[in-house]
Amino acid sequence: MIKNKYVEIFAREAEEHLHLLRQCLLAMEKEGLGAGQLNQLLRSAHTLKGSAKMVDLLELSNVAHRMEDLFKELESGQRELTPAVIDLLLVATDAIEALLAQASAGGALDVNVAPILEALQAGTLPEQAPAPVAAPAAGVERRKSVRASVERLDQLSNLMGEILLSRQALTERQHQLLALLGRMDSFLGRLRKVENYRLMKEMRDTLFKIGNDLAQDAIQFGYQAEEVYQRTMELRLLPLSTITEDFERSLRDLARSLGKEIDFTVTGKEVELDRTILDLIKPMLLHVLNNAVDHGIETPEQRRQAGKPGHGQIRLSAQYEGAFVQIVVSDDGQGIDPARVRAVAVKRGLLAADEAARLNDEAALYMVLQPGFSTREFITDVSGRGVGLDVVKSNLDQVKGNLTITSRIGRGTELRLRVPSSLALFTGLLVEAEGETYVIPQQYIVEILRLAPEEVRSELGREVVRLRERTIPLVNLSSLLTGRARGLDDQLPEGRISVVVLTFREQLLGCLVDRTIGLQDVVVKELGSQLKSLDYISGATLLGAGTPALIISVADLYGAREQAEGTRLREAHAARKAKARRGRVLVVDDSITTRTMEKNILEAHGYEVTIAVTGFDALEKLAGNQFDLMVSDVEMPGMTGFELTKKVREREETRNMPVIIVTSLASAEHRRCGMEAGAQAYIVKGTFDQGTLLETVETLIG
Amino acid sequence: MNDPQQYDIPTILEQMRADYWRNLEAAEQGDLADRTDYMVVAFGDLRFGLPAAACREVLKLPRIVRVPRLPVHLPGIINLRGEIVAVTDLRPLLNLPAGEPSTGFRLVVVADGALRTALLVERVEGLQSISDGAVAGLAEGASHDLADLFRGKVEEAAGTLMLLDVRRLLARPELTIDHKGTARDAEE
Repeated sequence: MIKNKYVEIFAREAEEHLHLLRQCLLAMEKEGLGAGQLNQLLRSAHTLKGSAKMVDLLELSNVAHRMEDLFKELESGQRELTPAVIDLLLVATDAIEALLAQASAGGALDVNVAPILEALQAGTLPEQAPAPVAAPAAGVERRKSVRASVERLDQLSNLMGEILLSRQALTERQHQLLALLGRMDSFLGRLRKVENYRLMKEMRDTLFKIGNDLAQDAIQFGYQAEEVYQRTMELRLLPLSTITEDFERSLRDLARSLGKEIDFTVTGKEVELDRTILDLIKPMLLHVLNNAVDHGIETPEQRRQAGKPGHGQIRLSAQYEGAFVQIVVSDDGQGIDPARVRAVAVKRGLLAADEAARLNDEAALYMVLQPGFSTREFITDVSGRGVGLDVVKSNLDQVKGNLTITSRIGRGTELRLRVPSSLALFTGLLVEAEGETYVIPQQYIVEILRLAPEEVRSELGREVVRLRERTIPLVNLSSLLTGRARGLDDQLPEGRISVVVLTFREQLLGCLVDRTIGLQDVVVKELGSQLKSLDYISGATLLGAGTPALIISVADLYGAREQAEGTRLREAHAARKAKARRGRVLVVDDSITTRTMEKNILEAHGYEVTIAVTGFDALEKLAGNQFDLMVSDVEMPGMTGFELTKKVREREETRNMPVIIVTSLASAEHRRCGMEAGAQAYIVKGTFDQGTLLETVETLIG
Repeated sequence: MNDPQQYDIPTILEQMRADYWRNLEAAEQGDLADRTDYMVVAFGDLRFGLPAAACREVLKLPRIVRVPRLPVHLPGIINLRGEIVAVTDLRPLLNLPAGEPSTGFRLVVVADGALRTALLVERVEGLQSISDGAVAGLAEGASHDLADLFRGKVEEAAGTLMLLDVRRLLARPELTIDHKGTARDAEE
């Protein structure tokens, strides 16, 4: 017998049934005939019969068949339950186990079941017990695989993720050790006694060696942890064939019922995917395939009229593309007609007539993904119930997949799904928005642009950037996420702006972020029981230090991009430039009230204001920046405003910078001190009002 | 050990059996049976009791990552040994003034069935066993909506201890977020 590739799967299933059979038989021996047990026995025998036949284990199927018959006779009362019958059934169960062992061993074991078949038919064991069937010597081999729940696998990968995190902690300890060694080295230099020096040096060298060994161990540990982690992830993978097996039959039936003829071929059945993804794409693929039969492929007559062979071709292929799997479903049917799509969309109320007219052909194809859309004029059982391809869309969003449709009228349609081969692990770009770190799945990212504000253009009232002849609309990630528009001041970062260019269903979108941090492999985590689903967020992950970060749902970003308020970078840039022209002012005051008041007055009139809280603070800020004017208090801790002004005058760069003293010291003596120190103006707080300060500043720097 | 006479096994077993029955009887007589353990937490001088059976652990305040578009009583998420858990701030729910939590705040992880949350509290005072007989109902006309969250109250020297009903708290619709309605779809 040839070892069938499904035998292994069958063996696992059969093992459970054998266990049940024995359990129930033994229970019946003790307690007599019970309806519940008999049902279970019937079910197990029946399943074994059917499954064995499917994997071509006909002898085994026969034994199960006879057993099933015997159970039926017991059920109907045709046969009485005697210990002899139980014995017989137990022997038959052993025979099935032996046959299973034989199959697992690829036919290497010799098993004779003929006497058992006869005995089952007769209903009694012959006088002399049937030749003992070969012992299930291959039993060990059969146990090569075990069942594990997905939940348990998840726990395992969670824990492995934690172990990867501890690796980083180890690295951190190493750095601490290095720093300590550095301190020891400088301490060594101060040791006078030779003996002490030698002793300390010895200790230092030993510590250094331990540190080195620790580094080595950490690296090794890291590699091994990584390896175990990968293997754990692989446990979740299953071949595509586990879901495509059923398709063939159901498509043929469907085609027949619609009076169509199809050839359905699958390539890449061996491609492995995460079982969660398989579960999600199965209904999706079935839907797409049904659609191809129902809407795509024409009747044989129509096909021949169009000069095509009567048999329509439907192909499903899968192949690896790095960490992704590309699944293509294609047919040589009539294709999707954009004009008809537009017409139907309007008819169904999905689009207004003018919106439909503006929709280009490419975009029109994707309309078939809208809920409530079906190009079929009348409703069919199969795929025209208005649930349409939107099933595909929502499932794709869940697996963070991407989808493209191409279609040529009269030639056919091709649908490409790109899904990660593993859901649990993917590469993401870490970005910062609103002070938190977010992860954007790498598969959606075209590139990262660093732009000067001048490179942002405006088109039809929205800000856009140009990238290789394409115009890309800009959105601000922070405002999209929070639903609040950003203030003009927060629009523009210092220096260049970071734009992550995303692609989704062939459309580009520029996503403005506060900062990009870098690419990283991330492990997907559920958001917990309390957060069942969130807008714009598809999950979470843990970063290096164990801090959670949210994963952006790119599909949601696209969904919201129309409503989202556009960026106002140009405006912000213009405002900043205007401010820069008005001049930069350093306000020095230890009183928060005074400095806030002064800052607000000056900023409201277009000056750019920096704050310093002491004289020292002011000098530090003056050293690193250019200022056009300084406003200073006199009485401050550490250094008075007069002393500060003197120092400003002594510095080459600030010798000519105007200084205004604002103080409550109103005496003529103080005024004289101020002038002597080098201040250009002296304002007394008692008489202080915004007019005076502004006027003075404007007189000095305009 | 070699001398079996050193241990009179039957006597020891008999004694253990007697102890066991005595304990059971004591429990039945009401010494233990009608007492419930509560984890006492506080905001300022307002003290609340959380049924200890629902409490899983108390954590020092870790970094809470804010989640966009969540109501104010859900300040964010934390990492609890590799799993993500949402944080619930009771203050807005109880109409108490809320500000940024200081580092002294604690998280009490509570669970009921599959639902789990980390409750943000200002202070954890510790476990307290309370006789069920000492629990009084809330005052008549106690504000409608909130009353539902409490099992009752206990008057103590330190003030009133309000006993929260964690199950009802977790069952509140505002504690579960389902923007996309996926849970609802699944039910249909």
